[in-house]
Amino acid sequence: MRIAFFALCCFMTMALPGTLPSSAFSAESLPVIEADAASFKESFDQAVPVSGNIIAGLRFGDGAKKISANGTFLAPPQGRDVCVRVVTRDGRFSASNIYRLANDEQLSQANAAGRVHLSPITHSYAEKLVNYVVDDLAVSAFMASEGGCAAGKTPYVPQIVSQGTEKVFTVLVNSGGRSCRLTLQPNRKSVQCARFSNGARIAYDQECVMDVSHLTPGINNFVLVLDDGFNEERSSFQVIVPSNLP
Amino acid sequence: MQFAVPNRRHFVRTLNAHVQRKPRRFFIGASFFLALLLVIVLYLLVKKEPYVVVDALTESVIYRVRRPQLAAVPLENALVRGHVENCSLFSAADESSNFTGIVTPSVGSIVTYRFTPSKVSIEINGGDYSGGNLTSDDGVICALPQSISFVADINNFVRRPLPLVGPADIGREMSVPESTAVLQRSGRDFMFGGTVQVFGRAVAPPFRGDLYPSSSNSFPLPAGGRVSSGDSLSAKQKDSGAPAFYGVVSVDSQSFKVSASTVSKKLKLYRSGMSGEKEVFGLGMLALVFSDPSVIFITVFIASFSFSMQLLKTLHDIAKKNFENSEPGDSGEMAQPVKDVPPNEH
Repeated sequence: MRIAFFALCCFMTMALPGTLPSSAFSAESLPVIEADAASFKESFDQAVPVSGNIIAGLRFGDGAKKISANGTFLAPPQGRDVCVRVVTRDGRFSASNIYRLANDEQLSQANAAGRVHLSPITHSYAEKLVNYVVDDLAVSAFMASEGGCAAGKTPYVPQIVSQGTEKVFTVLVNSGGRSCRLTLQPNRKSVQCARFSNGARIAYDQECVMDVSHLTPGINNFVLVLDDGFNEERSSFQVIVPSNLP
Repeated sequence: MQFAVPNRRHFVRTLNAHVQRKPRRFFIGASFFLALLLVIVLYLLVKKEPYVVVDALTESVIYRVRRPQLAAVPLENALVRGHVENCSLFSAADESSNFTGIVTPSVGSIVTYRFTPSKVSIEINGGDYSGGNLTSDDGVICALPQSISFVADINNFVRRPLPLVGPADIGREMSVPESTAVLQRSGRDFMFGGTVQVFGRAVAPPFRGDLYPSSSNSFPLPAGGRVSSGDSLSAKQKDSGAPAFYGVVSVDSQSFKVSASTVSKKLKLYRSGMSGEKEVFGLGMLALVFSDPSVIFITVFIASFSFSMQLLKTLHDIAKKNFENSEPGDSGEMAQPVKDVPPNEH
């Protein structure tokens, strides 16, 4: 009986990513933020072309679910152009592209819906990415600036995991082995970041998880304090929090 | 089951008939089955986990404290990075103060050692609780905050190495550099390699529990990896019960030199590679029961037993043959006098 149950569970787990609907939200009804397919830059298991960054990804929602390559959502951006860097925790997959909303009407639709559909996060490696869970894929999206993409200078647009039932905000950090702490500026709410306990920590190694109740709609200011035991490094950044979180 | 007893005689009779009908097939089958049974029994005997010695050159060691008294570190004139409240050893206004005395981390707190050629940093993180306490030589005891670090001169640890008493991560996998600041940073955490030695534990008496070197007992650790006991090493999470390392972290010219032992069947190695996943050293496999010297006793016993049986059977056969050969002659020579000399004819 127990063996049969186990076998059933195994089968279900294998069948899940392929058969079940990837999200409760229908992707068709949402505005789509798209990247130029001709100049799409991504790679799998090669030298990682994106320069490393302390903040590897930001996300609302649970990280334990499997990835669906066509079901990635972002919070509504403040403009039409968004720079998106995607990297898997093992460092095998990485992509760095500019995504554009077609027109200003879509931008207002996105604000109304509370999210945009990021399409696609990969052109060539979708079948490989479905093997990853959300925790193992960091999406770092930030507003494009005049000169292009400069991470940390403009506000971050967090990923929204639609399956998420946990109301948490997570920052994925490439700390370089340092201990780190995430602090929300106005009310000084502070959380200690934790290392991933399983799997290799190549592209990023820690996650800082904060309850969404501490955040306010609009721009939120954060400080990430990294300590290597000898010195402290502070980096401040801004995050766009949508007014209608799931 | 209720037919087993009444049918035992029937079973023996059937077996006998079978043996007589196809003796060769029966004996091959039976010996194969018995040999398999013996191997399984030997295999199941291995319950004791192998003893593992890890030697590694690394710039960082992180572990969860299992025994606070053993984890205590004496420090001389160490810089305190953090604020210890309500402590007479420090004046409240002090931004950076020095401390001489013993630091004792609390059970379950996470201790990180980081190396530079001149200084060593000891970071203690107690999660939601105090990280432990400080004891000055005058006997003043102060509770540590949740998170604090001490930076001490490397000479502190020349005479007395740092303790390692709990589940640990040795080194850090070569990862994506976050910025060029990594080139200037003082705290580094690279592992330069090392060796793992495995010792098995004898399973059979009279040597039961004793250590023996397994046949292929040493293998190298690749540089740029992370050796892990498997604990999360997050102060917020509970101790996973992963096997603990017990040993010392001494200072070398270019890195720490970790020498520690653990009792474990599995040791995890994380590295940046094709799979992106962990490699698990099956230490239980290296310390296989078949290299266990105490098991040789069983082998020798079986060999001697079968040899004795063979010998006795051969002797018996010879004796029987002699008896059978000599029977007609014997009866002719020995019986005749008896028959030829009837006592009543005298």
